[in-house]
Amino acid sequence: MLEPSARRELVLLLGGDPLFDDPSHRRVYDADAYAFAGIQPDAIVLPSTARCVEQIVGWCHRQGIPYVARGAGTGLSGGCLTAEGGILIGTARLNRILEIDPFERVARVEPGVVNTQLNRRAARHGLSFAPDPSSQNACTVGGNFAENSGGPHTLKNGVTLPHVLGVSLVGERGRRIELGGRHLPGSGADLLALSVGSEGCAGIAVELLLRLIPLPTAVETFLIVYDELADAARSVSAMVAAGILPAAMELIDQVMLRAVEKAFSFGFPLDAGGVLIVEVDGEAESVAEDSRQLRAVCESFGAREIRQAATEAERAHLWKARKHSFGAIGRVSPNYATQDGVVPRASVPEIVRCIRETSARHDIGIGTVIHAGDGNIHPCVLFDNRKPEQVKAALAASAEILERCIELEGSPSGEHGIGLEKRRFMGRLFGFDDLAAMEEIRASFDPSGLCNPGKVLPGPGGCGELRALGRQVPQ
Amino acid sequence: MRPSSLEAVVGQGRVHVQGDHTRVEIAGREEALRVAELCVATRTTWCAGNAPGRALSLDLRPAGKIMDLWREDLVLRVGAGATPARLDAELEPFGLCLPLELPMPDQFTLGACFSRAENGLSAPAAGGLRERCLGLLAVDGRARLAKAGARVVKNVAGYDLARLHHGAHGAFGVVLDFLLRVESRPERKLLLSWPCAHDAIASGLEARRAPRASVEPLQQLWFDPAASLAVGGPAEGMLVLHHQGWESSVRRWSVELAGDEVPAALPRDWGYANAQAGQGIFRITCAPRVWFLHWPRWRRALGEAGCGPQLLVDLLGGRHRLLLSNVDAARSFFEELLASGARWVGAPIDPGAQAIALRLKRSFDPHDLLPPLPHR
Repeated sequence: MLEPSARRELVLLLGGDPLFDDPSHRRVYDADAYAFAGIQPDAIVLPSTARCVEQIVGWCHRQGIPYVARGAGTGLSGGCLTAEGGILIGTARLNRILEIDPFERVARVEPGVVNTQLNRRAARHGLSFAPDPSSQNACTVGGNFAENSGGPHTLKNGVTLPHVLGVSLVGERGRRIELGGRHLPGSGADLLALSVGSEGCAGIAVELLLRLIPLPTAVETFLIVYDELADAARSVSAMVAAGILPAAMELIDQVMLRAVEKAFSFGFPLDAGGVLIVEVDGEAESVAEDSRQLRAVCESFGAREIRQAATEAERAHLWKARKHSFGAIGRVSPNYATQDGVVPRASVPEIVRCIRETSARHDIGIGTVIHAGDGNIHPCVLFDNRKPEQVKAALAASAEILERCIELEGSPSGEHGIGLEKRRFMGRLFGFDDLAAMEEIRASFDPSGLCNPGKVLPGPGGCGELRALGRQVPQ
Repeated sequence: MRPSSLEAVVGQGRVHVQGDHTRVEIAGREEALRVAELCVATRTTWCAGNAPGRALSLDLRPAGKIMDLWREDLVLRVGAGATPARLDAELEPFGLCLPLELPMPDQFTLGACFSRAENGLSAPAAGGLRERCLGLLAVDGRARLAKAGARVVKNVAGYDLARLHHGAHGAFGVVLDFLLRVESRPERKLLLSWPCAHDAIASGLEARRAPRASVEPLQQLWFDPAASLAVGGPAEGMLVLHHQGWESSVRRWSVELAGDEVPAALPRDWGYANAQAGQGIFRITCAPRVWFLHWPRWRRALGEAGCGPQLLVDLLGGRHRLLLSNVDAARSFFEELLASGARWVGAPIDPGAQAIALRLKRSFDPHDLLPPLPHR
């Protein structure tokens, strides 16, 4: 809780912008979309100007109080939780699109702009911002920057990193740092790239310069139905090896398919072992060739049916099914934890098998969607928060799947970040020197250690340290 | 440092002393680590390649080959001493390629390209070397081996050390090997050139619509005369469009932009110069940043075409760097842009960013033995 004198100082700095420190608001802001942890901040502030952010961060430094930025709270790894207490700085009111320059194909925006909002504006000029997380209707571009977010359509165009040209960061002692920009990049430490995906530990973004890309002139979307999920998984590598680079390639398993069908009645075949949603885009000639080759590969791997979206409405329908799949799961289970591992593309069949076996071993439901072209898996582990044995099983199953990802030379996070949730895996993934080097990078941006502490890197308790999280896990 | 100390690590015949400079041939990561430890222990300045003013350089070319290739994943691990040309030759039998068109592919090593942030002609379309790099192993100024990334194409676990070394000119360490994402070889590659600046600018606008295409203003001087059959055009420079993909797509863009068909008989890996330039096969051999030297001529042509400098900015695609050797041309370039009213943010070094970079330098090279930090 804030001392009354500290509270008065903050209120003055905010100049009319909101500050909340009552129990109900602190409860509202105690979690993001990570299912297992809840930590209440000492106070929540919602500044509406970059200058205000500078002043709040400067005040935090003078007081030695930790601070954490929060966008829409859609993160899945507890990245915006105040792990060591302190001030939560919400960016929801920093939500202006400052400029869209269709000729230079750039957008200058504040961090609280919602991903879809930016894409709608860019679309008026025939452009788009490539990262499209499933939460894009709610998540902010500031969050996309902090987490280096991906999404179904980043297979071809890349995750957030190549789409960030510049950032204005509020860093140490509330000072603004400009990284990148419209100018030609020079040589030297690529601080801009280091700041992308730094999970809010390098400073708070108050303005972003983003690259926009042209919308494709032709798009074809396919629903490819397989009797066996493994066949669907195997055809993924074959498609890429054939020289097809789809815009998106999503694999959905039977559990998820049934949940989606139950919730939205899209007309999916319920007896299918799994389906692929594949989208190819570009110019007409290229799309036609991609489509022809794609059909040939899928048929050779036993596809039972290949449906091609005939209209834009059908295409939107398919993507709605995919992007609403996590919401659909909410109808069949009171709680679920969405995991985020990555394996080499050729190991997708193996990790699919692992998920199935883990589900059976723990007697717990797991529905899976996979950004298959990237090998990025999202198993949704279903549980009931009111039943301790299910919580325990969900945690164990999640950990086992991510451990298997690491054994397959993958990673425990492809796009959701390490945050609070996966710090314990860092010691399995990296050696002491690797982690020491990362700690030095972090300390170079934030020498005081006040900017989102307790995230990403294992704490002094060792690589397996998870005490902070352990306190939050329902027993 | 005595050559015998180095020979004890790498063996005889692989330590070459010339005046004050010693070059050590490195065959593997353990050797590199031992030599780095010796350098740190004896406070000897060191680097990879040929950075000026260093007493010892690691010659990584002997280890410059593919170490692992995961064909189904389209991922490989390759020694940083490999040249793009050598890598391409090793990948060709597998029908794979690194689609970057890096400069001077038979001379610069991948490590040199990465540390100089040379991303290649295809970077805007296919992503640069930074985007292709899934991970790396580097030895830093503390003689500490640290890895980044994994052999997966998407990964956000921890801070990415690869980005620290990208463009840093070896100031933080020496990259020993890379994990890179490769692609199937395209069915067709195309290089179109417009020798006349006015045509180039008009076509450049059209070319922006082409998918998987990148456009590069170049100087004819920088085409390899030995490889060029008949590339004509005035010395003022030309604009080159690079496009690759399925045959049908490349053919369509060739016709749309150049009004000519791709000759079917040409080898798949080479493009052609269009009829205006005289048909011929050529290869690009230079770092395109040299283009800045010829900025005034381009500016005149732009003005006469009624275009602002933003077009060139767009065409450059953020791939060109302003090096100190080009400082006069760079200054002239910026002055022209500012005078034109372009909404262009200049490139002063942010003091906060400089402080971070210096802290990084002190952390990763506390004895100041590696090359100095270049200014970004």
